[in-house]
Amino acid sequence: MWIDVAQTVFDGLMVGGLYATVAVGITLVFGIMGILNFAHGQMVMLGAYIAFFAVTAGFGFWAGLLLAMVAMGLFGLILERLIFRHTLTDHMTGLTVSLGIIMVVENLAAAVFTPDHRNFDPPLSGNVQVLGITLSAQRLLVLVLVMGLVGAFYLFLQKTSFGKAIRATGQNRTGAALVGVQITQITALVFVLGSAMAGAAGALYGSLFAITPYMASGPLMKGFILTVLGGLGSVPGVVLAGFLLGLAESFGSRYFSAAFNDGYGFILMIITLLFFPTGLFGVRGKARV
Amino acid sequence: MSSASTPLAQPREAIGRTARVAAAPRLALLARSLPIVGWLVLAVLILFPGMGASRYLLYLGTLIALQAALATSLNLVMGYAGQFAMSHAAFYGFGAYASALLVSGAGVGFWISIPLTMLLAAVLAACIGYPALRYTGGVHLALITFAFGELARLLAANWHSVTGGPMGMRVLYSPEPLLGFSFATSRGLYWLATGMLLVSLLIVFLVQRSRFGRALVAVREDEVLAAFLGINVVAHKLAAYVMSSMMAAMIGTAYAPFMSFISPELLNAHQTISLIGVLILGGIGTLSGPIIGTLVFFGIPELLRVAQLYRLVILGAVIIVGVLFMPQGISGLIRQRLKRWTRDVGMATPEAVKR
Amino acid sequence: MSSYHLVRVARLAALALAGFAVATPAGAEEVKIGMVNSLTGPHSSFDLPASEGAEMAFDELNKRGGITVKGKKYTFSVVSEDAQSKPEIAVSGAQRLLRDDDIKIVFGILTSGPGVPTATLLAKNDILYFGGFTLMDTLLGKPGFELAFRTLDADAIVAKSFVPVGVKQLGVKKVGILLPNEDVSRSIVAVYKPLLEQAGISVPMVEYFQPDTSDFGPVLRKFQNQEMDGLLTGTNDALVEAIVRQSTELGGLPKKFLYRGGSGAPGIKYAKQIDSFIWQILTRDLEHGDDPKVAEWVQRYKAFTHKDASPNTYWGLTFYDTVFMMAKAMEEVGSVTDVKAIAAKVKSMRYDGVRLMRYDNDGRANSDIDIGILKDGKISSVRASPE
Repeated sequence: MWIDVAQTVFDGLMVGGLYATVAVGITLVFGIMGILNFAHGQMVMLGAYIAFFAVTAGFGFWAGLLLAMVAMGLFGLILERLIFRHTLTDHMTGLTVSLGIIMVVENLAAAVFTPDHRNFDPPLSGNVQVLGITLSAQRLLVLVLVMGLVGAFYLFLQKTSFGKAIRATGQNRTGAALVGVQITQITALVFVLGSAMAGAAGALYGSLFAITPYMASGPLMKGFILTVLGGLGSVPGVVLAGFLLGLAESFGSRYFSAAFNDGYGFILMIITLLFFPTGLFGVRGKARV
Repeated sequence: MSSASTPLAQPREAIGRTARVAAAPRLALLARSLPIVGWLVLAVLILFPGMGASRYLLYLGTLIALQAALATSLNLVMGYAGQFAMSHAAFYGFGAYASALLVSGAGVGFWISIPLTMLLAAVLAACIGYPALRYTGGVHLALITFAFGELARLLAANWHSVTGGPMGMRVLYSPEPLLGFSFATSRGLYWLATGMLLVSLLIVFLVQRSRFGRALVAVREDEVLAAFLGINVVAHKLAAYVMSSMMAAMIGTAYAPFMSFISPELLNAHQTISLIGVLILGGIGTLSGPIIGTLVFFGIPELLRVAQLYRLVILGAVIIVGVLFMPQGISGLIRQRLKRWTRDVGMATPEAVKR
Repeated sequence: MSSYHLVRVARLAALALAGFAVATPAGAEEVKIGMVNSLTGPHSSFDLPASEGAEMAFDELNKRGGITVKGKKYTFSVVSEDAQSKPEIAVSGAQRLLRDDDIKIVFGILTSGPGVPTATLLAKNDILYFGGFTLMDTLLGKPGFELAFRTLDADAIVAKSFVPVGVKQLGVKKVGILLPNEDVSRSIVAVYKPLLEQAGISVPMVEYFQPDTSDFGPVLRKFQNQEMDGLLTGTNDALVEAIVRQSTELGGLPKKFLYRGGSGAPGIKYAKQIDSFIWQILTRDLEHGDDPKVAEWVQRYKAFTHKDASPNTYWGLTFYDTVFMMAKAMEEVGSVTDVKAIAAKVKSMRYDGVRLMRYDNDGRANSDIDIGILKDGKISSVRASPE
């Protein structure tokens, strides 16, 4: 029985870590730019397809992962420069534009890639024995990678000057500008990093689960839930919330009903909002009117 | 009559102005009468399929009328109050499922199920809206309504014993005859749909002209200022959200007997996004905008049989471009044109015209 | 004009009139057939080949010169609508077909989502309808659906042969059932569980997962370490492929699979990691059988569609034989418009085409199928006949 619990914990951490990788982009973009980017999920989907094509073309998974990150980072940059740059003043416009982007990207992907499910062979297959527990090798790899990505991102924010500039801009935009932070650079960087993370998450998703053009809404919704749970703009909040959510889903599905998997997240979100309106690590308090 | 003030000093300009000014009164007349013309056109559009048209045209007309009514009701909360209600399609689906369950399961009559469903929707909207609307910025509402929409869809897709699960629910009833009219035929359902469209238009029209409507616009423009002016911002936002959700539910009750089939896809967030696109295309915050947008988005491709996928790509592009460059939509463009024409008339002086 | 000229003109006129009479096709009139199918979208892998099969059948009938009803010749023309794998679009397409009063017969749709509302609409309008989707079973036999036929065998019929073959070939003792949380799944369990138990197999677990699940870890873990050796699962290839793959990744799970579904692809892909896999080919195994009728049909299919045979091609046989049954019924009844009589005739026929086809009084098919087996790395099939 304890073996089962351990396996469920491990699975929950892995899934939660994947969600968190997607969510850091959302929360950071919102924290810095005030824009709720609904199109973030599309980066995950595109990242998965890039990895798929890289693997089927023979370049291998690692190349695919790297390519997904780079390509999505670039895509995020393009979006920021071309579109979101113009919506900095009007956040609702930014939200609306992101809705338009979803429709364009998702339906173009469906038309070009066709809606058929795709799968590619992951770099690791089968299972391994760790401390007497049987674990899927690929899932273990994903967990390690996700921890690595999120950890690296966190260190970047804490230790590097760019990271500190990002945090400063998130706390107080004018103040940051006053101390010499290049706001335009920072917003672009935030978009690039967030999108690259989403692309990586997509490649990792693709190594485990089926890839379709419509797969974005799942990670997107989870990303939003985490953003709310963790506090808009807080990266550590989002990560913690991610693991919590992953565990909740894993245990809920395993020991209760598997038919209502996505529901656990929503319930968690509603409860949290009732008691912690600004999230677990709420950074941005909005004026109550 | 003094001759000193005549503007003959610049003859060419005077002639140009004379010509333009001579044309202007006609355009101005057109501009001022456009609202009436608009209503007439709408009346014709509504009556046309109703009078002995083919079964397919009736079907198409009903579909478009329902969509236009949905867009109009969304306009109330998005266009006038400026709030992002991402749950609109969910309430539409809620209306369809709730009334279907009431009629098939509880034996309630169709016409009675409508106000009952609307009441339920109002309670639901109030419960969701109140915690979400306490914060400014609109992001909270967008998130929470989006989450609610997804949750509702999940419920519809998984609460298998009640809603039939992902396969959807078959609807076998038709509206009972009312006031001697039969609403069970395709023609009857068409009138039902257009009736709902007219009701939605009426509500938005009344709101537009009321104090409540003006307060909504004030809230949309600047919440803090509106609060400062004494407007209860939260109450107004909540009222707009509840009203538009109730209308969506009302329209949903007509959908069920019309399609004889409801599926959880009705509640999909993508449907709401399409509606937002339609609103932006046609012109947010105007009465005619939703109708123009719906006609363009649904009517034309349906007649041309353009593939759904490309239609959506184009709609997405329209949203992006429209929001960035043309936030007033088609209706807004027309309006600007009209303003220009009416403005020209004011420039002319009677003396210059006589010359 | 002189009388000579008059006669000349009259002769010319007579010739012209006669020529006219010859030029008018004194032969074939057209019977319009409507088709609604998901030609695009996720359901197209079933519907597209099915529509091709039907069109092929009509084409062959026309090449023979059509059918002869009461001395008159009739050929067929097909009007096709795309359901785009969505219920609303399917209904819309059916509505467009209904616009044309000449269309009284419609073929199409193998998936329940678009199928249910379409069949309901067509039944309301007294159309003779041949469909294939699972939930049609719940509609057949109900008042108003006398003109509806389901061309694929119902689970109740298929299971009667599928279960014994599966038990014998796979050698399972303890089987778990894992299906998506849908209407269709409930009916599957109601049919298969008792049959399994009757065959002496114990079924300790039945679990339903959220239909759009991609991570099967949590739900599969419920089946872990319970000494089950078999898993009955469905309902489409994408789901089952994920289930098979993730169960091999997680370990401690059954390695023998019974697939209530139409393709061996999910099992074949992971053949090295599993024990065996058995699936239902609801028409005919086109690749591994040795039936000459089938081989011939595949050749004709390739010639007609200019496409190679793919794992989904067998759906093409869904409507193929039925089209010929309908044509034969028209000839015997002596009408191309009396749908009630045609329907009654089809229900009384026993037709030996590529398959042996029969319909019961409710319009349910009772025809032979093939069961695909993957065992010890080898693929084969077994015919199951209801008689």
